[in-house]
Amino acid sequence: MLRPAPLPLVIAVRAYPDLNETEDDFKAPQRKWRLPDAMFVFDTETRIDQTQRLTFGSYRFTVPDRPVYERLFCADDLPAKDHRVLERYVADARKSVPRVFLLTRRQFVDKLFSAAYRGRCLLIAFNFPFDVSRVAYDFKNARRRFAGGFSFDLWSYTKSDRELRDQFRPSVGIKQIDSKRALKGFTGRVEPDPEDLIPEGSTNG
Amino acid sequence: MTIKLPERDPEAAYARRATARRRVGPNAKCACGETRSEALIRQKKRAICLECYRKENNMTTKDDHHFAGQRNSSVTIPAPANDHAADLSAAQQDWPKQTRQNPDGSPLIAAAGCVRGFIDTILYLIKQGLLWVADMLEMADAFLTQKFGKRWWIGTEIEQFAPKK
Repeated sequence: MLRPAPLPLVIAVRAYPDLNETEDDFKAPQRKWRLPDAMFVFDTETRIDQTQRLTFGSYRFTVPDRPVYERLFCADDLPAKDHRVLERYVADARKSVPRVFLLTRRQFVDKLFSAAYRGRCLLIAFNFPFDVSRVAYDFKNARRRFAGGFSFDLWSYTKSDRELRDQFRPSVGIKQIDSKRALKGFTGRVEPDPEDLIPEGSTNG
Repeated sequence: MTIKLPERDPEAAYARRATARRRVGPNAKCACGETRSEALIRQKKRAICLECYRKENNMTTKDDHHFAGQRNSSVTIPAPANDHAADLSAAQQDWPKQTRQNPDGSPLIAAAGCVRGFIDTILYLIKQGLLWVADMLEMADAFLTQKFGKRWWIGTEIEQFAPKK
């Protein structure tokens, strides 16, 4: 049996260059990040329909050597019937945990601003992009650092029956990296206090 | 041990402490030993407390503290500048904004300010004037126990103060 004549094949070789020593030695600049001593942990509960609107949420604020504070907060548009359920729950809970209160969404975001933005405590949520989108009153397409993501407005004021974004408060920028990870951060605001600014080149804020 | 009322707004109180810490830098300390951030000033190469700064500049180290808030009463009490900044004024920051500012001059709000101010001042005086005595007595007892044994007061004039069993 005759063998078929060999056919020439194009062979491609993928080669990886050896890394230079300088590249081997490359290390990311060490960030002298200090673990904040306080924690603000929150979670939200929503409707189970497709809108997934906020119904209520809860948070816990802990600072070393101080009592733990637990609060509930409810949506601005929560029906009175549901609101009464929460009020009853809080009244019962206060018999055993005296520092439980029911806040409005607006009061909650003010607490969030104090603790997380001004105090720079740890901000913990089980699915932060989802939870923060539930407590936001408006959103926009993000720009600059979070371009391609969302910018959530949490802080607002009312003028002539219109809810407007408070320019003296930041927004929360979210940009998804993949299904499990996202970049998150506060955006800029008008006239920030000098103590709230992160100095140029600072590695620890 | 510290005597403090439960904070009305713990998040805002934490933010105030954190911003004060950031303003003077972490672990800032005056040469006199003052470490409370609220009482420190950041200078180019050092942190200095209000009292030391004023001493260097031949100024008084006492402040007139409006115990009920400036909008609620004109009555003031003299207080050391460091304690004024770090204790007394810091305590007032935890009052409701309405009471602190009393924009319309309400007499009821002014009365509330007087009550809150009195409580804060009493707590401050307890801490400054009494608490150290308790600390010192406990240390003195430990010292005497070590030196003369457990029931060191038996047969001394102090025995009359011993609790009756």
